[in-house]
Amino acid sequence: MRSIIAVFSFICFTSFSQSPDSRQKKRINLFSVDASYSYLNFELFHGISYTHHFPLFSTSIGLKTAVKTLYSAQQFFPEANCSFVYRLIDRNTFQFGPSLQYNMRKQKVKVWHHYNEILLGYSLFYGKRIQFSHSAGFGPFWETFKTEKNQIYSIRSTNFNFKIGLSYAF
Amino acid sequence: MPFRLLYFLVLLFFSCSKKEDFSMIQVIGHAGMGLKIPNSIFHDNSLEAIELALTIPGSNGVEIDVQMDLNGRLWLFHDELLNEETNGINCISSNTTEYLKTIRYSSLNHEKLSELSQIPFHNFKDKRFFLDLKTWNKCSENTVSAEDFKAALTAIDLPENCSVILSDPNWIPFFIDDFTIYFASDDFQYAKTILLQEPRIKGLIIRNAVVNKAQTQEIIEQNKEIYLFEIRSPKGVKSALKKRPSGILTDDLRAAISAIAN
Repeated sequence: MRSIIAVFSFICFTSFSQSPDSRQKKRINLFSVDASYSYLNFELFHGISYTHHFPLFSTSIGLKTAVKTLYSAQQFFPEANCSFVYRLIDRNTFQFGPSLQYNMRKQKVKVWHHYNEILLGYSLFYGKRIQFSHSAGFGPFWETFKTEKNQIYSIRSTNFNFKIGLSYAF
Repeated sequence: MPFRLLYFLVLLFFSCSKKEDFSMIQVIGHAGMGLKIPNSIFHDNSLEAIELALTIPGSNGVEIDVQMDLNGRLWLFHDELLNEETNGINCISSNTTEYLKTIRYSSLNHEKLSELSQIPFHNFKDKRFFLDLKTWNKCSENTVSAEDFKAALTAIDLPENCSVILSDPNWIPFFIDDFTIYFASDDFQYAKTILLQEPRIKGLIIRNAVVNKAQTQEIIEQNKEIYLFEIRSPKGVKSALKKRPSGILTDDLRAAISAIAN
């Protein structure tokens, strides 16, 4: 477990940077290091993501892990996510628009618990070479696990997510 | 040579972590999935939280807070006043059943206030239920009638896996003949005196921070059970487990189950 923490921390705090091509400012790719706060489990996630800006919209995929669970409980609690942002406002250094986010988490609490959520919200990006990014979303959440009687148990709830990050142009 | 040294250091690093077996310690969800912290998807003492806490593999039961209304019906609610956590006002004890049936929690899911009789006890025969009886009516600044409370509990026909938690020693004589009783206190010495006075009390419910391992073992050596509460973080779970109590009433059920299972 300690080695996982060490490797993950190394990856998280490694920066990726290259100058963006000013002629293709709307088609830059970004690696970002970000942190998000999830209301549901009072948990902070941190990790890396890759964002691709298309002319009208941006998409991103990322990998994260829960800070509290990883460091206090010494348990790996990973999250994979993807999001889609329609850039309603697209200025030189500022982009803003509605977003749709899908997060998938997995945690072993004696048996594997699967968490899925789809969040509707907004995202914004500010900056040129180094961008500050922020997004927030609200939406349905599902938790699924196998009970002691070997039956699939599923519950639905609502969740919200608040994310901030720093992105480097690639 | 440096490689061998590195290999030795890595081996030493991993061989130092000793795994302890906590599988004999019972994990009980405090007010369902946890009290007053956002660890739970559902509000504490709601039917949804209780059912989830009982269904999660590794959980041994739940502790729930029970209060009596003006009509003698029993409700699951922790606080003295409804004002802060629900859309209701005043105390449970000063409201009617009809009014309380309309109350919902001001949480994300707006769960309904639940009656004790709504818990599907028959679905969870292998789990334990600890009923923490709330004896004080803040609105009338008076103690609730122990006789009426007992009558209300008896009317529900609780299964054998239900135990009662009392913090008022004056209530013990009313319940000791018909229920399994645990005494709750923040004062270890005082609690020990009560256990000596009434040997039929099954055990003690006490705050994790006020007892050490020696005191915990002292109770167990007297053939009594001891459950620790106010365990809100993975660190707190570890500290409580190391005292080797009979069980823990945890606010972070997932962390506690993980700590025992891993």
